[in-house]
Amino acid sequence: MIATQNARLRDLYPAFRRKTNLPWRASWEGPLYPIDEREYRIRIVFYPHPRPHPAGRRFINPCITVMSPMLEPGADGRVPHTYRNERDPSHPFLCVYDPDEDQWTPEMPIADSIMPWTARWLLFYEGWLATGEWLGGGRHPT
Amino acid sequence: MNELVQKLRDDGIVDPVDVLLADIAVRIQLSPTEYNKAVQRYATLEAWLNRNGSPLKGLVELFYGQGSIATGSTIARHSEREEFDIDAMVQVSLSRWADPEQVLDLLFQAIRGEPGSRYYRMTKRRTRCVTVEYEDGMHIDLTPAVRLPERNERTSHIFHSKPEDPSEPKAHFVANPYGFATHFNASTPSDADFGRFFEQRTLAREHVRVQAQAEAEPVPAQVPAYRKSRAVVSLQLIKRRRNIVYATRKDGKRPPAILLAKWVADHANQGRTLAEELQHQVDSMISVINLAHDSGDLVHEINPACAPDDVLTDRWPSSLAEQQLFLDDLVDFSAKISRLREPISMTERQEILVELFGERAARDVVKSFFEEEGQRGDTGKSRHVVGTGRLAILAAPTSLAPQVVQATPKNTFFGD
Repeated sequence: MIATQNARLRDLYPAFRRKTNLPWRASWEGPLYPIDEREYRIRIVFYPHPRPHPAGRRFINPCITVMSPMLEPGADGRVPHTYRNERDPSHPFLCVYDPDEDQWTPEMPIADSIMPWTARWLLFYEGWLATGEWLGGGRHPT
Repeated sequence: MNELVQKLRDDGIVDPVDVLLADIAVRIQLSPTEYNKAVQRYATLEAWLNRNGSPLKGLVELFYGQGSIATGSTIARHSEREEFDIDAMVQVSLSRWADPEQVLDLLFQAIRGEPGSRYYRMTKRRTRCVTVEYEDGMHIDLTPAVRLPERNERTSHIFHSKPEDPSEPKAHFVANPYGFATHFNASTPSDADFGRFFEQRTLAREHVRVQAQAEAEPVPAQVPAYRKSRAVVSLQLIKRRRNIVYATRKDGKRPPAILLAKWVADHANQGRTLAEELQHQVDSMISVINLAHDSGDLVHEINPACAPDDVLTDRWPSSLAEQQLFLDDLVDFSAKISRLREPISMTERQEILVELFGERAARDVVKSFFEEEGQRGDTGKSRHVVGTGRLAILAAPTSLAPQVVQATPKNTFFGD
């Protein structure tokens, strides 16, 4: 499954480089340009076979973080539509799909789904910074 | 990256900066509804001048729009209020050497009519025209003119009279605004893609406006008059910028719109995008003014359709200091356009647009930019460029998307 994901990413997003290649985990890093030539560097960590997780906790897959520029939190210290990254709170994980609506599974090509959704997230993040409103819709768990 | 960006432009993908600039122009221009209203008011005024009992009955040879409405470049007068000044020429059968005061008074009386007439309280006598001020903020300036048949096109005498200042001499001037508009329109033709794009942005805004005001009039499917060129839209933005900077200056005249239009026509349609064209136009104005200024001279421009008489710089600039002021404005404007075109954040872009074109228009277009993409996503119409993830905005809804563009699958953002 990782090989398939990698091949599709190489075809559609050749600027992304694979950084980790383990049977249970792969990662890629590369640039996205959601609006124009302004670059965001993204890291995606993918688990082809998600681990069972304790009840009440959500297993985040893939884990998408913005390496640069640093995301700017709002006055409440948060960035909309992110999950907290316990290991590195300054790099929260982006929530680009609704897990309760089965919008994505590990079999779906990251290049055709996660990548454009991540670019879209970055676009609306820029909109949120400029206007103070998240204008891309979405759902909050609480 | 630059090669890819140029390829995207060639394939009909619009730069986000062009969307923002075009939408600023859409918000400050005469809307299709207001344009139709102006046309109707022209017809009503012409009929009124020819009514029984009018001192000009049978003397009106032609009645036609001139100035910004003839060149498609009308913008609102104020930065925060939608008030428009539009112009009309009233060609009359009088002696070319008729007394200017009498001609202007005659037009004033003919429009104002008797006490109780619809225009009685709306009409003002000015130095070279008569203004009708409508309650909705539209002002129509009517300039009387006597045709000079030995000259080309509609070259005419226009009249200058300032009764409140007897020391100011009455005068006749030779002018040909019709010829200028013809020259301007021929010099600034629209290209199909940008014209279609600007027409669509105009209609999209009209839909929003009509809905917000709960108007019954349907929005037309097409408005060909709004298939403008990049040069014309650049002129609108330059005029807006001029209005903003001069609004806070108590002293000194500002460069007239016809002079700006002449310069835009001289350098028209060299940019491949709206932002590039705007940059080019502002930089060209800087070059033209610098050429004179560096020699200690004032710029001197003539209407190409009425040489040598119709001098466009007869009232501005009147001094090197006035000229320098505008030159400094243009240099600042150019630097800000350059910055706008760099890969900066939308927050910074919004700040620059606020400074250049006014807070309300700037914040509105930035918010609309994201709201529209949100709506496209909701309806499955969002597109992105493969390889970069970049948002792909097509020039028109019916444009064929290039191969590098894919439909973005629908998603719902989640998380706190």
